[in-house]
Amino acid sequence: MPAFLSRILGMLRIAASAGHWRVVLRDLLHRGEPLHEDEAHLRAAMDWLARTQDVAGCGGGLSAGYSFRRGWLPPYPETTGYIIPTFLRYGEHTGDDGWIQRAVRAGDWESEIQLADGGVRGGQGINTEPVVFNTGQVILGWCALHRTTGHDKYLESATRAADWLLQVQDRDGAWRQNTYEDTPHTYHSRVAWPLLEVAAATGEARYRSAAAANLDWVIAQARPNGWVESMSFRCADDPYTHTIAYTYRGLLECGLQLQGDTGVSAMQLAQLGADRLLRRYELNKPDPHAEPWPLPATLNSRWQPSDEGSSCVPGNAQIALLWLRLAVITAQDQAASLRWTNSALKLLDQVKATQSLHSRHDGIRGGVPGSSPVWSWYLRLTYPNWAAKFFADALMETEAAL
Amino acid sequence: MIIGLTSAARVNPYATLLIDELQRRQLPVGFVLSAERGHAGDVWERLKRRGVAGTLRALRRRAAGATKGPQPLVRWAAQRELDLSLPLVQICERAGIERLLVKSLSTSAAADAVFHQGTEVLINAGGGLFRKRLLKAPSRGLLNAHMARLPDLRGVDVLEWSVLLGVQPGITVHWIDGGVDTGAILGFEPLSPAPDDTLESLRERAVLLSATAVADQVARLACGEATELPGTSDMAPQYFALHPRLTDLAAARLAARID
Repeated sequence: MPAFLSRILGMLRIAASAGHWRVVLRDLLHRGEPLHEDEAHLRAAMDWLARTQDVAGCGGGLSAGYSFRRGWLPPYPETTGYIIPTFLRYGEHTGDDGWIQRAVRAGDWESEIQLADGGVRGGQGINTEPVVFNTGQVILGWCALHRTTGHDKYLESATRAADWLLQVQDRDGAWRQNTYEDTPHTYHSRVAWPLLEVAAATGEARYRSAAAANLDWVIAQARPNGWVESMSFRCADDPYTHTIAYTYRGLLECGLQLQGDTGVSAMQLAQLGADRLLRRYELNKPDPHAEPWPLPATLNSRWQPSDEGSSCVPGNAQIALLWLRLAVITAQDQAASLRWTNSALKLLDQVKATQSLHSRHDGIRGGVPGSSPVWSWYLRLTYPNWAAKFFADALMETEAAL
Repeated sequence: MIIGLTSAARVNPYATLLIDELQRRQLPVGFVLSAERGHAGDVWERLKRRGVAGTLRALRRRAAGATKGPQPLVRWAAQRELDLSLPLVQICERAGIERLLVKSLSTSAAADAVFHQGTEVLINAGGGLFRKRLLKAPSRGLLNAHMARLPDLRGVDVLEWSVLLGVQPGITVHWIDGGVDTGAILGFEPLSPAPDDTLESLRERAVLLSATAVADQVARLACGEATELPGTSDMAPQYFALHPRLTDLAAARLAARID
């Protein structure tokens, strides 16, 4: 179909739904959705995620999300992989085995479409090129399934994928080939983390060494102010909070699992970055007692916003989750732990205010948008599945933190 | 010693208490530097800061959070025959205190007024964040009562944070410098919760203690007996406004501690 026709069709799709208009109007008027108990928001997000699996129609993969312009999107191997642990945790949380079955279907689908060389297909839909970051995220899912079900087939898939990651890793620990724009990214700390999971499950030291090498490279990109270079998708752009959170979460989880100087440095850097994000958030408000303004969608190396007008909602959920993980990890230091929790609760309230629990529209009800306002740059007019995933993860982590 | 107070509210119970405490120590307040806005100004400022939805949320929270408990401020005012609901203008008239009206405490006119009064000690009785030029205007500095122990608990809602963390609540009297609660410390007065205290009544008790602690320290300064401890750096942890769920947790911990 010619591009202009596709554009017109997309605009008609956007305009045809009252549900779309309600969201746009809500954001236009700066009216947040009403806040409810965590459990209500969590259930709505999980039901929406289940819907993404049901509508994808491929057995187990999850639709990448709902777009006002394109409708339900094709299944997305990367995010299906890292939503598996979310399904498993919610299954444990509710005691409903149906969520475990959903995770199993997602994991089996990932194994079915795994490439012959072990890599995971990049992008949405079924593509032919493996991508490093996506491979790491699916390993997290397979490892979680292996721990829960005890089935070796998931560990076999994870090991094949990890072997491929080692094959394409550069000598300095970075990944340059099979990456976004063929450039190295420090958010690959979130690839080192799954390698450590495989190392723990198999007892194979080479995965641990590869993870440590990558972390050493990531840590070498850090500035004294805690900022890490190359956190963005594109070199020339300032990173979204989405990929900033990926970077520090990867560092944090690796820091917990790695012994020695690298582990200590990773943990320190994660805490420093998380603290800078917390200060950025808490100090940006009209007066000290007011609710902070939402985090900007992108930040520069001085931790200053590059775009004050919008917020990246999945990034906000991820940052709240990062702070809550730190709250749980630092539980023995009550003051530190409650400081992290306090800011996370405020940020999560702002994510809650973007989630409609009562929309009649299946693509919107329970979903979490990519941007606030919904027409902003990051995934314009789209409800990506990773926003709901990280929001659900953060709500479940809140229970652990409190 | 020439003493001044800052104020940004039309009715300011804390300033009223401070004036009373200082007078009882033979330390008359020379002037009140006031940036009050009146009723409409107060409402407008609140709307500007919080928006309509934020203001309504805050009012709802306040209404929901209001619990019955002791009212130490009311009792104290009755004992001292003070009317804490009187506008500051009337308090000043009765006590013969000059009111220096300024548009904002951040203006150079405010700093100039303090300087030209020959002020030695300016006391924070409201006004939010202060500009450096105002901090430099009084010869000895701008004094503040902080509702927790410094340098441990910098920031806001620190009385509630003290309860939440299970540390001794109290009032630290300190000089305000360019940072957030980082200035040199004159002293700490512990505050013991009463058996029937709620967070609201504990806060009222903290307001009372703030007035006496500041007046005591000004008296020590006046007779050259004050001692100072170093403050802290701006990089030390700062405590931010509490989320309502943590405020509820603090209230529960206060109740549990007492029971």
